[in-house]
Amino acid sequence: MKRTGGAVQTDSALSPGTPGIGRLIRLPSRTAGWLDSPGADPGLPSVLPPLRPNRDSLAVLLVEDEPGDARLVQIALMGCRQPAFAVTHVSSLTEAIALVASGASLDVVLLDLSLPDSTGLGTVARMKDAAPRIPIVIMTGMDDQRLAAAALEAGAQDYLVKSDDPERTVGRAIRYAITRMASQIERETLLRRIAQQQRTLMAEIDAARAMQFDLLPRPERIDSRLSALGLEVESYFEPSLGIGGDLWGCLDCGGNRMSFYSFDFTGHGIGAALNVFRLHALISDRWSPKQTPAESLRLLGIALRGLLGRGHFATMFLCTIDCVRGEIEWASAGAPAPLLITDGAVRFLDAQGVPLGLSADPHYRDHCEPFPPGAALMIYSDAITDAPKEQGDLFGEAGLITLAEETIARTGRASIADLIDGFQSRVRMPLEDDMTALGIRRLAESPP
Amino acid sequence: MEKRGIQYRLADDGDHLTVALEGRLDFAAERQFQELLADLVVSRKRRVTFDLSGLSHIDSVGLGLLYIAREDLGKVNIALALLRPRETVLRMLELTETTKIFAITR
Repeated sequence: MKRTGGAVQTDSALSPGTPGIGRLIRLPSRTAGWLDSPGADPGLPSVLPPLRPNRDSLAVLLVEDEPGDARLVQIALMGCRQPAFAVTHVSSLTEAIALVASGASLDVVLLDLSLPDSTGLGTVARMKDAAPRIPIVIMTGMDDQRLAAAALEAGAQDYLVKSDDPERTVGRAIRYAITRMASQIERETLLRRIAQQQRTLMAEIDAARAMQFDLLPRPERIDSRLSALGLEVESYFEPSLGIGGDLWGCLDCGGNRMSFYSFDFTGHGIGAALNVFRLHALISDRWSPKQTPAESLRLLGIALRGLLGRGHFATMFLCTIDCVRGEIEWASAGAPAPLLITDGAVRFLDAQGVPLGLSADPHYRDHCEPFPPGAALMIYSDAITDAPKEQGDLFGEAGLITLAEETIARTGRASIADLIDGFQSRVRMPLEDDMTALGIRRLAESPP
Repeated sequence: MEKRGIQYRLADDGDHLTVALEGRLDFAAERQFQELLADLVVSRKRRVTFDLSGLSHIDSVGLGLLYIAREDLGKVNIALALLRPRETVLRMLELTETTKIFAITR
């Protein structure tokens, strides 16, 4: 809005009175895009504590039972300006702790280590317990480097040797101690903040992961159909970064037929996972049992084309198994070639096809093969063929077909669980890509 | 273990530039490849050829990068061709019918 001489004018095309040009107005974001407020730790200061030595006056608690020593320190501090020091003097640790407990506002504690009610390093620990955020400067009678180091270890910020010239050293020690404490608190606050953001992010990813797993077929929904059709389906699904760019699913065509698909987006992680939700929704919307697999892939390819970012696409395999005709019909959009296992022989299906999203006018071919009782199909993501072996070269299609043949020779069948065991023992784990493996087997004695 | 990312060598032949890619064109090479591409776009060449004979592997991100390269170079009228892919890389290009989109010399 522009204000001109008290009158209010608007330059929005949405406002009445402006000759209209239809358009979209996207208001800019008003946040940095990352909020750490949900479930925030209330103990975390939102603004870091100021470095207090910058103040004009600092409150010092002097804990010293030797009146002469106390006097020297007080004189030394009285001479200081910028900052000035306001000194409160007590002669025992008990009094010091009581003062802190009363809520007195203090910037630093000057602590003698041989008090009537406490001596040695335990004095530092007790003071620290009473006032964890107030910097402590200990005062020792002699120049004992080891004691000083131990005191710093116990939580003091600095130390003073009483025999040194206090006028020269005490003001400096106090300022350094306060600065050091402020840095320490700042560091702790940052660490807690990072840890908390990490927890928030992990919780978000866990929630997204649960949503992604919810997209997968569930036994309670499909087991009655699979049982009627005499199909056993074995699946493995493991995103590499909590959530990922893979998915598989099944679609009931009714009658004697069931469709299965698997797809895989470029990349992995959150971006790929968001695309998974897109394509899953598109499949729900565009798939029909009346279409051939090639027709369905074409519709999905066209729909995805306008939605994906540059260089992004999905490979997809879609098949329909007809348990009466004993056939499998499929089309592929550049998916890794599935393994067909019939009569103990293993071979790859033709899976050529342009990936979804790369072509504005994609065309796919339908293929058909016998799929008799006892036959099995293994669909998988390229995490398997692209996995590096210990020697560094890739597992590849050669590795997969060898593994399948060996597994069949040993166990009489190619179960996904056995194949994954064999696969994981032959490649370098963990995988860097999302992994899906799906086995569909026609039971030898099919009901229909 | 094989080194991450890609290396490349340029051979300049007048209005034709050959870029010999070596290593793996995959998600780990994305930034490096985009930087190379930005240089190629302003190279004022008429043709660019990616020599793939030194490329041991390409994944889906790498394939997407080739499509991005084709699009970006196409916008500035630079023709992109692919040369001598190894067996595993050729398999990926065939599977995804990239062989029908790009001019590939074997």
